[in-house]
Amino acid sequence: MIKKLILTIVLMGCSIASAADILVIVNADSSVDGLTHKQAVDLFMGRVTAFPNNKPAVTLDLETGTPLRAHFYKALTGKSEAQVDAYWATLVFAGRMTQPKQYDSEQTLIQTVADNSSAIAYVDKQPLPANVKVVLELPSEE
Amino acid sequence: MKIKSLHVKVSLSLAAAALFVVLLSSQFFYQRSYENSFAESERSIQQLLQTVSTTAAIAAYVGNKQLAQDVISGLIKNDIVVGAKIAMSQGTVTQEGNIPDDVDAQLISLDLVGPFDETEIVGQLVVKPSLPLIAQRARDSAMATTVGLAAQAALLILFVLVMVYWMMTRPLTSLSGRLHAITPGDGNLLHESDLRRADEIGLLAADINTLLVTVEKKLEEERELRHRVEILEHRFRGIFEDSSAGIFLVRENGTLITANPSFFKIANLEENIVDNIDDANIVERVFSDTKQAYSLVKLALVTKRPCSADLQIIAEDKPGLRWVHCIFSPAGSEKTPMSVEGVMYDVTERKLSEQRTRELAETDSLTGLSNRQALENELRRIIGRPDLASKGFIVMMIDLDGFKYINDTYGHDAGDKTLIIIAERLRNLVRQADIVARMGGDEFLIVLNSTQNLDMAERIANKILEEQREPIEVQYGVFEHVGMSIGMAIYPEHGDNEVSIRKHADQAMYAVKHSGKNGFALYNPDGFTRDAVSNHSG
Repeated sequence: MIKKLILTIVLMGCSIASAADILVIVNADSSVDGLTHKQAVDLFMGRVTAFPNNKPAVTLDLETGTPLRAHFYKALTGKSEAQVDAYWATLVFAGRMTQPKQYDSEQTLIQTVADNSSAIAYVDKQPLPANVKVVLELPSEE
Repeated sequence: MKIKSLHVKVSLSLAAAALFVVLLSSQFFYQRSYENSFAESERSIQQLLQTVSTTAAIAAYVGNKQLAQDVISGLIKNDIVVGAKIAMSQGTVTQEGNIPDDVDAQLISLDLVGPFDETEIVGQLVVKPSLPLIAQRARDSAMATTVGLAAQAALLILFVLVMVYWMMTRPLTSLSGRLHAITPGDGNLLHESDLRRADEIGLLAADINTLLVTVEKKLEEERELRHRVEILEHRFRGIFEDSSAGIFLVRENGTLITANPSFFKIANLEENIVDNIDDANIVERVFSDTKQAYSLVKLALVTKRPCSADLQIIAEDKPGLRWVHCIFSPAGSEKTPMSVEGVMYDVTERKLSEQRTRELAETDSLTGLSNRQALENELRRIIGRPDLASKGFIVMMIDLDGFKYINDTYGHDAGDKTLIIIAERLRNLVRQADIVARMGGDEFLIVLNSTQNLDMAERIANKILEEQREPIEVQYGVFEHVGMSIGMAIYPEHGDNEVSIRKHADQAMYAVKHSGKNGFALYNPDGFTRDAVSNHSG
């Protein structure tokens, strides 16, 4: 009983300590002001290639192996990074589908979003420049 | 062939039962197997769909026709699938093969769940299974099961049959064959190999042997007994057949049942009378006095003890009468009708010698007439029989006159000769039925039977006296006359018994002697007068 209690407290402590939100960002000029969780999933998983207001969307991704990438997909779809990669592999193999383009760092993502009004990407919660805006905040349980 | 072997019977019934069971069970198993196989096919299609569902869901989620096409192509490669389609929620349909829309097309479908949101149905995967193929497979599988079952049953039956043959039929057949070859009583027994078995057949063989031994013993006893009976019967038959006495069995009514050869010989009958023995009244055919013979038979039956008598039998070819001593004994039991056993033997010789002895005793040896004893017997007999006594009789007492003179003058031979001649004359003068006796010396007595007629008696007396006028040659060339004094008495008038009638005849005769001899007189109870005597002139 006591053991169980201690374990619970420890886990809670961890959760609180590592609780770091992930932010989905777009260009500040974008007409999109916010997205639902589902809309974010459909965009990032390639189901749709446009924002809900039918403006074209370009999804940006981090390179495979980046810790944030795994955290993001876990928070977004509940799947592991490997599962997501397998998903994409299936679609790419079938043809006519391309995975979101991968960038090496968050800074590059932020820079690209700031330059492209159709772009959408994800970053760790952090102070952001004024030329990007947050459309969805995902709680990460890392 | 009516007799079927045990094995054939067992085989046939077992085969019939097995066929019945196999038919019944194969029906059931075929059905079940068919259904199982069918369900199995459906399940494998379901599994097939499950396998591709992830990819199909992805295809439906992103609306990727290419990916959907890949999935469907993969599905259609299975020969139990004739058509497949993926309907996506955006409205896109990817299809291959023919998929009818009607409800009873027996389609198998699977809802495709979104890969990232399990609550969202992103499309539907529909498959049309190849029903004929599934059915064919189900049938094949069912048939295989059924055939296997039948083969198993057949194999089992074969095994059972072989075992039945090996363990039961064959030993039974061999036992039966060996037993068949044995005739009870010939001393043969079942072989020891039959007995060594530790099962019911061995027990049966042992019991059969016990039975055979018992039968053997019984038969031996029976044979022994029969042999003894045969010997006994032979002896008795010998006694019966060879007996010099005639042995015969008659019914109460006198018909013959059986008889030995001696009987036929004695009775002087042909033995073939036995052929119609049933209506051969042997009593009437054999005995001359049938009444007497019947009464003897009756007597034996009534008294229930042997009765014997000398009986006369009819003997046509032999002169004179034949006599048999006959013993009748009651025979037969309560079950069989009453019969009488008769034993007879020829006593003719004895009877004749007896007769001769009797005759000798009753005859006057000189004259051949009855003697005094015989006469007295005869008179007593007649008086003793009412039928004869009632008719009466006349007694004539005769005394010769001057016989003493002849005897004294010419000797006893002359006297004897005279007596012989007189006797002959007297005998010739009366009827056969009358009695002429010599009472002794020169005294004679005549009994005229069955008459009281005095006239006739007088006529006879006169004739007797008349006859004496003829001289008798007492010696060669010497002739003498002999007179007679005759006294008569009538029964029952002059005496009711043998003694008195003779006495009275005597008195009448003396009356004649006293009044001049050579005459006759009738007894007179009042005394005699001279007139009463009829003297003969001459």
